[in-house]
Amino acid sequence: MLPLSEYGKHRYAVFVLAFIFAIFSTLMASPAASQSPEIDVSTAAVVVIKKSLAGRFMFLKPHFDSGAIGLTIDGLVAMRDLQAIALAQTLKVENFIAEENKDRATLYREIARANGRPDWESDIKAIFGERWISRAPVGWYYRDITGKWIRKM
Amino acid sequence: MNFSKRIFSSLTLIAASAFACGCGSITFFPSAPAQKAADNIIDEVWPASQPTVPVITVGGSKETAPAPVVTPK
Repeated sequence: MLPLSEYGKHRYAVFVLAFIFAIFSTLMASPAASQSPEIDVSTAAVVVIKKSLAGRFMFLKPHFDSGAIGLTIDGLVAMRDLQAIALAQTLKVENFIAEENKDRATLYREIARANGRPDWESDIKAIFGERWISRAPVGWYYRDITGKWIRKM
Repeated sequence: MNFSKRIFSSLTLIAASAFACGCGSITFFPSAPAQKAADNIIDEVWPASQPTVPVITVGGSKETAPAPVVTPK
């Protein structure tokens, strides 16, 4: 290996700095430059899922209100208190929860797919998880990341 | 071409490639638009969960609006 002259060292340092700057500007500038302004949620599949979720909501709402079921941080619905549900209704509620979760999982996957980024599914799921809880009425329960049920105040 | 020149050329090439790739292909998850889209969907599927009060317009049609905030006198 040939030793670098003083001038060579200087030029070497300039190029290294230029390289670091290029990497830094790539990381910092591209989010704003390449972010799509909107998320497309207008596909036929999303519309169908929304109708399905809306149709089921009127059945699930009393159980959210009573605290029998609650929201989870990962954007799904879970049984919280079986005692709060009449025995005859238990199986029905469980089936509705399963269908609701299936629809929600499909919704997240479909939104990611509709935007050409299947790898965004987990991000979309996380955003929905936070937004369902944030938009839920006071008194509803949600399960946090530690698995603890919390009543929304 | 001596060793240092080769390094300079390589670094320049790598820097240019990294910048071009970064500008062209890296797309970060757009959190704000995604949050807005999620809120719109939630409004549609949970219409009854939002507190609303009826509002009668001049034309006589009924609509709903967010519950007003009551402040003490």
